[in-house]
Amino acid sequence: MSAFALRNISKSYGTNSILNDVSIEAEDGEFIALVGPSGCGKSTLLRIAAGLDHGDAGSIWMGGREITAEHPADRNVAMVFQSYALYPHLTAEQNIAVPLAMRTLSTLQRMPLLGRFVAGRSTAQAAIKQQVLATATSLKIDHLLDRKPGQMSGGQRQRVALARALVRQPGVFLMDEPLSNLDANLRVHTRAEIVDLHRRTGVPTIYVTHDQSEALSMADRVAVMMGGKVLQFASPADIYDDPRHVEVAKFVGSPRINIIDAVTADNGAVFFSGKAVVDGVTGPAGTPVQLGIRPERIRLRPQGAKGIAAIVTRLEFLGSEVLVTTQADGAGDGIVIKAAPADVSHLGAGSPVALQIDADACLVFGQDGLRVPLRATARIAVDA
Amino acid sequence: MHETAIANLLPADRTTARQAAIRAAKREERVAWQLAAPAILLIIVLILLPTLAVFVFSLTNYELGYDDFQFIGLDNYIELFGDRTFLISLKNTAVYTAIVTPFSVFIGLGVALLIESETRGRAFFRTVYFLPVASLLVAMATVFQYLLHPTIGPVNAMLSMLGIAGPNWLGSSSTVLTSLAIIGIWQSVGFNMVLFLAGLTAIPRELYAAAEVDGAKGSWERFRLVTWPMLGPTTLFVTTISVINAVKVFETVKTLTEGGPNKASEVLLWTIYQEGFVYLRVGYASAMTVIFLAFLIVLMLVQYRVLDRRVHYT
Ligand SMILES: Nc1ncnc2c1ncn2[C@@H]1O[C@H](COP(=O)(O)OP(=O)(O)O)[C@@H](O)[C@H]1O
Ligand SMILES: [Mg+2]
Repeated sequence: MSAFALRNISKSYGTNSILNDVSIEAEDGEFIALVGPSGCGKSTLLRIAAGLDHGDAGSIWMGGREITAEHPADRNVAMVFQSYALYPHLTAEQNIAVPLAMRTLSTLQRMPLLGRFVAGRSTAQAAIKQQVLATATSLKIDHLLDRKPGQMSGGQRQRVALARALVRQPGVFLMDEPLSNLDANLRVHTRAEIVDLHRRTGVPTIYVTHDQSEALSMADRVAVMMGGKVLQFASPADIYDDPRHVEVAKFVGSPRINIIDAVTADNGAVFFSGKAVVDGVTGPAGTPVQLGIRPERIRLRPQGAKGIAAIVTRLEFLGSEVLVTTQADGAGDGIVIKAAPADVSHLGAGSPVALQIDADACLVFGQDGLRVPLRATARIAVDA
Repeated sequence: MHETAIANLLPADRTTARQAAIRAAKREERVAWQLAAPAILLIIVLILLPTLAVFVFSLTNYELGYDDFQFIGLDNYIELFGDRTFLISLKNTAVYTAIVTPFSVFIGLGVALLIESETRGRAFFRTVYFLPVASLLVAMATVFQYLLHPTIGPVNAMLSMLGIAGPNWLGSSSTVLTSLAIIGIWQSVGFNMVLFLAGLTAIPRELYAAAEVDGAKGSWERFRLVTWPMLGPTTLFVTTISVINAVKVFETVKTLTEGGPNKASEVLLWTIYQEGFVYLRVGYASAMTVIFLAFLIVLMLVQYRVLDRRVHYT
């Protein structure tokens, strides 16, 4: 039984299918990242999880209880919106207090003037104030409590929005691209803070982002979504090293994975530039496949060494590493290699090199995009 | 690094740079005046000069048709505050405004909220409610005259079916102002609704989503938490416009009651019209106009000074 689960959710607007049989679940204390290009339906899924929208099919579960039909207010979810959605007429303190006030004060106690005379209000309010202050202090925004959102910077607003979600213990946290409006520095910093906060509270979290590096670095498990489908739902390492679909392989990792069109030969060997690089592909010979190789899994060797002959076309210096673009026969747009600066200092555009590829670095995808399993005996074909 | 570079500039270079800056500022100022000149001219010719003329007239005993006139100082104003008709007219205008403004604002808001929450027929209802704004009030006045007629009018016919003896709506001094106010509300609700609809569409949808997640379950709670505060600037504007329009009531009075019966529907513009265009006492009418303008200006200043700070949150 998972702490929070979305099961077989489908949703379409008119004839436009937005979500197609999507299932995701979070265990207790788990941080789930939902990543995908924009427009793939991430926000729609999150809104359905919060109860702000309803799916055409599927069910939503929290701790073994079905909440599919429940109103957002009853679901005990907390959400951080991309635009922060702070109430502009309320101070930070009042903003953070809203979820508490709505739940602990009665309608009568919340009345503008009358409320003052309803029994129990002042005790309840003192408790709320205490909680708000504690949350604000933990997020280091206690000095901003008197300000209205209009008087705060983007980063400060983002913190207030986080505080408003954190101030009570929800069954699940839903965050919709909470960092996308921050500048790059603050984003990396806040990333770590959100993970820390999550560790401390232990509330299962579903974190939506279009940034694959954010997803990989923050989450316990990552769901990669494209075109309304979850293509893979696995740990960051599995997503990166063992992608189930060519789109997952292409979406995750920077620089992007090299994808080379190839054809299988007898006994399931895959040829690239006239040389077999890996074998063990099941199925008939002559099947078109896509060969995926991560840039850091290719090694540059001097011309004439064993490997695939190629010509350097471009070098991009990134500080700790260099991206080398090379052109080889049959490699389409070129092959990108990530190398250490010291190893490529002698190279320039036009330098001839040899590319050494290990068989276990080769990911083979079928025509439908799905990963083709290799026989256990698959071996290195570009011999060292 | 920047500072040191500037500090190292020779004094001569600095003065050249400063002169260039001064020249650029002057050029910009000249262009600004050139661009603003047509608007400034129009404001002077169309608004400031006529207002000034009215003020000057108000200090004279000028009457249309007579060749000469004298400046009589504040005599017109002194006469005004002893003029029973004018005082009645001030009071009636205030009562009329006090009825029409809140009703037309809150009914306009209510209708806008209903239309906003309805997906089907939204355009239809919007048009229907806007019709009174677009229609000619003078023409519609005849319809109201018929509707409110004490003997043949359908309103009283319906009331009598319920066993209630309807009043002589426009003919009795106790009901005439209320009747005119109802017509005024009928006319301005549509306009206010359109303004509120525009204000509603400007509220970010995510605020409602946040309110729901935060526990605002009912529509009243969402209204209190999001709609009402976010509509603040719109409400202030709508209220200001409604007050101004109510204070300017004239057509219905002119066509339906002519200030009667027994001055019970005597309102400011009607009194000014009588003095200026019927008795041709331009000077006296001008003094009333000045009071009328001062009244509006004070009202607007109060509204903006007091309320503006409370409805704009940034
Ligand atoms: N209310 C709506 N009506 C019609 N289409 C919608 C609506 N909301 C979202 N969509 C469509 O659903 C798709 C997914 O949107 P969204 O969930 O916001 O994507 P993401 O958050 O992944 O960028 C988009 O193509 C968008 O145009
Ligand atoms: Mg989105």
